[in-house]
Amino acid sequence: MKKLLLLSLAACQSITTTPSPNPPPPWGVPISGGNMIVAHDGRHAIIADPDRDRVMSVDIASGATLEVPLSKDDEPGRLVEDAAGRIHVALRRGGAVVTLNDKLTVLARRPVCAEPRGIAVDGDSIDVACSGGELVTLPAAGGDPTRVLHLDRDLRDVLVVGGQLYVTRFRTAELLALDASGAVTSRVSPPQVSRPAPEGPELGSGSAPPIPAIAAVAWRTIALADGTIVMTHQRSLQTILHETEGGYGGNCGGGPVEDALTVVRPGQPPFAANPILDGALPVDTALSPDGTTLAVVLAGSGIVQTVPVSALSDPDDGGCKVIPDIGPLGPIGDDLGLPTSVAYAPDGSMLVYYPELPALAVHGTQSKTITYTLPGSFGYDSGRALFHTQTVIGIACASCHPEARDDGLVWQFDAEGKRRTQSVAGRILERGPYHWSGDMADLPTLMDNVFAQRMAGGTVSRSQHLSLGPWLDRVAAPQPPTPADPAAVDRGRDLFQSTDVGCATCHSGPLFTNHTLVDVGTGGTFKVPSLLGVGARPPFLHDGCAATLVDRFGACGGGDKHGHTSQLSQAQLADLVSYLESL
Amino acid sequence: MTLGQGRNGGCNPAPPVQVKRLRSVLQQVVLASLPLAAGCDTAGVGPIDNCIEHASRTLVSEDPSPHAPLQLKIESCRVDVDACIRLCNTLLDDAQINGSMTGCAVTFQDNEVHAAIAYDTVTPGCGAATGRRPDGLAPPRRMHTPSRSALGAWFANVAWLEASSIYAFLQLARELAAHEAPGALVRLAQAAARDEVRHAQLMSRFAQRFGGAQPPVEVAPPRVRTLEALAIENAIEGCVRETWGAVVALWQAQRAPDAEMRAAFALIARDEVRHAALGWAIDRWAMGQLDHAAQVRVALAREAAVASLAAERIDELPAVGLPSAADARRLHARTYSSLWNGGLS
Repeated sequence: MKKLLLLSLAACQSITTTPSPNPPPPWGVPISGGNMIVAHDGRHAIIADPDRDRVMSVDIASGATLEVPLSKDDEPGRLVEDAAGRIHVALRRGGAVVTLNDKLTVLARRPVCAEPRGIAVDGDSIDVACSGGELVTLPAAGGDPTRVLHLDRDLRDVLVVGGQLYVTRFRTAELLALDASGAVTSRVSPPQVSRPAPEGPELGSGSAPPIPAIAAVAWRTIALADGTIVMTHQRSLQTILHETEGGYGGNCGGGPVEDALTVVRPGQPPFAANPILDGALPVDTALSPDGTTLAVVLAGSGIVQTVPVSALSDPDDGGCKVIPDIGPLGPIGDDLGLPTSVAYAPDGSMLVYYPELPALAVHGTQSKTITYTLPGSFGYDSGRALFHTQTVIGIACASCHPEARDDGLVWQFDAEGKRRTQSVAGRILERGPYHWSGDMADLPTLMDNVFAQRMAGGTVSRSQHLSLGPWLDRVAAPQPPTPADPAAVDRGRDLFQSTDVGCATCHSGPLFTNHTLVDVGTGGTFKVPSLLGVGARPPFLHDGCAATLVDRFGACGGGDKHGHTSQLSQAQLADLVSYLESL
Repeated sequence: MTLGQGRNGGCNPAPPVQVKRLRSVLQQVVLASLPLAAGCDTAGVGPIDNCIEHASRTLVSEDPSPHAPLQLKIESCRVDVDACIRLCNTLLDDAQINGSMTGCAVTFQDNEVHAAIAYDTVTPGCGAATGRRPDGLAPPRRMHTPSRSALGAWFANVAWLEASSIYAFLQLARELAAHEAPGALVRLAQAAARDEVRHAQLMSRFAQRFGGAQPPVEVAPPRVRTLEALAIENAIEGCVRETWGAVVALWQAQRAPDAEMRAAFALIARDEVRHAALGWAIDRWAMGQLDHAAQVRVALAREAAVASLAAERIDELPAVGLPSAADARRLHARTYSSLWNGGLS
């Protein structure tokens, strides 16, 4: 009786709670985008959820879901469905491809490479592009790889268009075409264009030269029905960056990074389409079933922008972006956080996935939107959100640090000169002080200086100060590919650690840095960088003067002031490079 | 269709777009008008404006909310008190309170969220009056609704003006192309439209932060007018209002009490100087195309606009760094003597 009374009292008592005064533990992974397809049945959206390590199937009409959990830190990414209805998902950190049936039962889990990225159906096979440069072919029905090609590192998407195999590279935004034997037959990059100088041309009074806008970071590449390939990527304006308030802005009304669409038609050179996308981080692209419209996820601005395919014929003529007159098409925002993926259903409905709640918004063709709140724990991380959200000048942290790594570019700063973007992946909290000059003691200092001031991002909150570091710290350094010659790696390790060569004097400890500032003859005193994942981030040195690790031991590497290597033979240098590639 | 036509059109030599010269003149205007303690003096910041009223209200929402965007904000607030600001702003919007939030305390009770929100509202009329306006611009629908916030209403109005300017520059580019103006002027007008998108987004974000609601921009379908009509509009909107907008933005970049606002106004000022310089370049080109009588009419229109601007009400909102009425008079007088009286040469 007494127990019953207590229970009934408890049931009547109102419970009041207040918001947590401190931010929750880190949540989520860097946005990569492109994690959703609509199944061939036209009725289900299949969503890879890299933040919760699972795959979901959502009934588009009812919102009913199925899901299959994967292993912790698998980070499922791109996915495809083969002709037999099997779903193949690339596990970005799991190093495997998992194959599911339409009920999401796991049929197979096959290791492919350290970091699978792109995936495509190629007849009875599946092609998987890996960041380490491997292109792995698997039988769709199951079984071991039938072919492993070793191409350049940093592969991204893989496409099969008219029987021809293509792969893209992420940071250089290259498109490689392969023949049946796997040989690279062509290699094209988006054309370089230019933009008016930030101050505007002083016409008639000595005009400022236009600024080169170079291609970078190919987030997503898809094919249209006629075989045309469309690459959604970034362009980086090679302008001078200032370290003042808003100092990264002023370029065509925005920052130094803009979105771009490059079109590659069969047998024609790549074509730079008129820049009409407006928002940071164009992480996914989908084509409407009638072939007339592209939808591009602009994660940094929280919107999906729809673009008429006909606009891809307008050339980029070197002016600033113009405002397209695109009728009923335009940006679509659901106010549900940062979108990562978009796909179309056969009836023309556009599906947008938002991982935080998580939610799926279905934009019907009659301007009716249904939002499904999907099962799964609520995902929140103010550091992650800050990292991906664009500031008023239209860039996000992830614009230059895509996937919390780096853009592979060298930027010109007004006071410091050239600086190669540093990767922020790999135990960032242990790597202070930050920047090449080591002038940022900790991440909150860096956020206040770079994000709040230079990027005009506004005041950084206490929660953001507390959250960004722990969130970034969970991002692993790039995993190296399996070495082709393990013995060379061993010999290189011996050289690296020998006192005669002296690399390990400064590049010491688990992070391969002793955190000091040293002049190694490269033009100043710089923070000793960590070498974790170094092979994944050319060009090298503070000003990017060494295009390859071999070049690092050439003219601009500092000579014997930067490790005593002049006595090494070419074979020994090759061994040393093999070792560095394995870190 | 994109605004591609005319981007390379026009074979006339382009007159100089004297951005640096104009920037130098306007910076001198502002610097000469700033008090000695400029940049350090934040006295007067706060709810001292005539138009501000304080209010508070507790708003309640069900938890979980069936409205997914609201539920996202509820969940964010639950796990991080810093995220509650967005929830409170959304609840204010949903309650159709155009207030500038000054306080937000949230509690979760059973299946409800209670948000005690303090906010400021103000009387109508606290707006701005600068920037290039398009032909056929309808007045903002909600400008005269009561209970506008101080900062929110001001930023919402500026965001509306900036959004209007997008249309103005697109229209300008169309008409310049139609009149075979130098391609460089057409391109710069299109680039200016792009700048205004950024400005509108920027001001809109401030408006959202301070609880303002931006009215929609309504513009009549574009038309191509005579060159004289275009020149008169440019004289008013470009040579006078855009120039004045640049002066005020330069002032705010110095005087706004908040670092984030100063950075925003500095960005806007940099662009507005460029837009004003474009206005002066168009003026020079157009005058070269018109006969003497039309030139006189354009010049008279410009002088009338300068006089009209001097008579406009000056909003006193030190919280956004606006000049006081006395400062504005000084700025106007110096701009007149340095620029409007003799032109940009």
